[in-house]
Amino acid sequence: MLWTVLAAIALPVGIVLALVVAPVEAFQGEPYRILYIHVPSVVAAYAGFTVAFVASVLYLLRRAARYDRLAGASAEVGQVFLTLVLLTGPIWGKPVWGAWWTWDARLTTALILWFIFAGYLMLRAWAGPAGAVASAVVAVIGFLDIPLIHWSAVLLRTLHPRPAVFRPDPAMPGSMLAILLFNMAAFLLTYLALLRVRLAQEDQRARLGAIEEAG
Amino acid sequence: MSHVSDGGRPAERGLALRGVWKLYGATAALRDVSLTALAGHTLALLGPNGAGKSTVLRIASGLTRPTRGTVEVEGHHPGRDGIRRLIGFAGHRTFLYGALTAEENLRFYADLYGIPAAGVDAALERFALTAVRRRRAGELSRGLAQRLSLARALLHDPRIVLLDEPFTGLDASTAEALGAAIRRLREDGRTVVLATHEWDAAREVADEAVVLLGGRVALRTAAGALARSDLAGLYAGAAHR
Amino acid sequence: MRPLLAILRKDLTVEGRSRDLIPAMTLVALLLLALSGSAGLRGLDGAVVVWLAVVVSSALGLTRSFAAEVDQEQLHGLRLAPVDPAWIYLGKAAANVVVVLAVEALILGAAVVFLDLPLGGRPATLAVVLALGAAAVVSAGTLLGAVLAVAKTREALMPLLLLPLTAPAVMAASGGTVKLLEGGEPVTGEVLLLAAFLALFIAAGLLMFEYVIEE
Repeated sequence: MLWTVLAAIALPVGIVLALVVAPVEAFQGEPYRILYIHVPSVVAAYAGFTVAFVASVLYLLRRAARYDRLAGASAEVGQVFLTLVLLTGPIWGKPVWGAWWTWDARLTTALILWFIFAGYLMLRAWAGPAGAVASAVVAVIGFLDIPLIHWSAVLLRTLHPRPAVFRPDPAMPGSMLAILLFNMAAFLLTYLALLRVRLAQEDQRARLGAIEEAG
Repeated sequence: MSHVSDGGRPAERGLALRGVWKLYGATAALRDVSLTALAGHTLALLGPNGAGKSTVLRIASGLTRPTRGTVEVEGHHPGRDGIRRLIGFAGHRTFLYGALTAEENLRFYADLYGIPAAGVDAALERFALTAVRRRRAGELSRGLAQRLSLARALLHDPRIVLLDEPFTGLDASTAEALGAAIRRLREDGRTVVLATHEWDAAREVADEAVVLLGGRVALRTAAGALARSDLAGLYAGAAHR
Repeated sequence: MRPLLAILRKDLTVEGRSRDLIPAMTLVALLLLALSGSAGLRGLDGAVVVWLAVVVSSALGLTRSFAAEVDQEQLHGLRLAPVDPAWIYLGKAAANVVVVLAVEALILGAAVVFLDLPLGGRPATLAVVLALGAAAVVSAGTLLGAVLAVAKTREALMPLLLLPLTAPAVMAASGGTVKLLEGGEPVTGEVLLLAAFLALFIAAGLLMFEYVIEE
């Protein structure tokens, strides 16, 4: 409950800060503001997948259903944030780079990760409770795959003309950094709040299932 | 691989399930099942379909872990290195590869269990399969496939033999051969647990009988003491519940 | 070691007799080549299509490979045997590598014919990339195949999961192949990545296989 309240406060505050309070970036202009959604979404997404990874490992070792539910719920919320990353990427990219999509290492990794967890969620949907071990394995190898995906995207970049590489300005003014960090915290809180809601749903469903079966 | 000593106390030999529960989700397939098959004895596991007989065998073989309780084969968990080769299991499915010949199937399992080629020839002879040794397993009749499955299960001369409904669907001559094989196992001091819902077939070969109803042990008795009518009565009682 | 050879021999014999894997895989791969070719794709780009064809046909083949262990519960027979599950994984993976390499050779030949794929001057390194790429796809696909077979779930999930998971290997292999066919650029990065991918997935397979098949 506390998380939800905190998230409910932090998120709108963060968005207002991003849209109104943050100073205008000299080089990119107004569109850069989407950074404050794009980057925190990345953080929230990876947080979600990390939790899913850990929960999956625990499930494989202990076979306790609650780890399976946690993994599934966390991956779902993570995927929502990752979708946001992939949507805000082009929204940012078009005015700034002139292209809807760029195959830079980070976006490519995000895209492929998105496919991995889309497959994960579909596996869970199709296989039901019998697919718990299967999805745990997928989550584990999917997560461990991330550095390799990034590496291969970096390797292949040399084959194609490099677009204007985006990198958060290392000499970012303090106010921008502060707002960025605030939004990261806000998004993480939102992830936690959503996770709790989703997890509560799954716990309820499991309890209902147990009652039905006991007849 | 750990060495399992041959000089175990009699109580440690054979098979023992203690307080075993098996839950699938919220459904209990087995409730507090305890049974023992002493070394050199043949135990018949009876009960109507769905009573949990197959589950007991799967737990006894180490294929499934009990949710609660312990299972011991020769004093150790069945899945352990060194114990697995003491167990022979033949169930509903044959574990055979349809595309391989009878002989190739046995050679494959012989390789997995470290049995020399001569053992395969001996097994083919023992189960009267020499004539079909080059026939593909997928092309064998049910009776022959069952015989081959049994040959596979006994190939490595296991001390504990677990048979799930071995008599079902067999013609008379194969059933008789099976009965003879089980009696021979008993003579050789092997422990046999035989799950079936038919009394007639098991009566010939079993020393003891345990009747399962709804996942629980309903009755434990010496084989000779259980009449067919008793069994029918138990089953009928369970059906009404 | 002996169980690995026994399983390898058994799998290859079964495939040799039923002859259903290699023809199906090759047909799908050739179709991909034919469609690309008729759409005008030629030359070096063919290398990318070759690798797409390899991974797509492998997705098809690797599900079937485990289906053979399910109909008569053969997998239980393997589990009951005094064999470390890791050997089962390696044995099946070895058999799958043989199958995929065979299909790969056919695809390569077809690409030379249909897509004018130029075979550059570094055959030894090309062979290494081809072998590592096949092994990489198989290392992931064998584990996934077992996972999906045990979960008794729809085969359609295999391509959905195998493609994103093997993306780094496919990218490295196709990027490396293009470089090799094109000229003298070193492909050390690509080969290293393929080796790392292989190491990760073999380790994952060896560690997780027993958890996957246990009940």
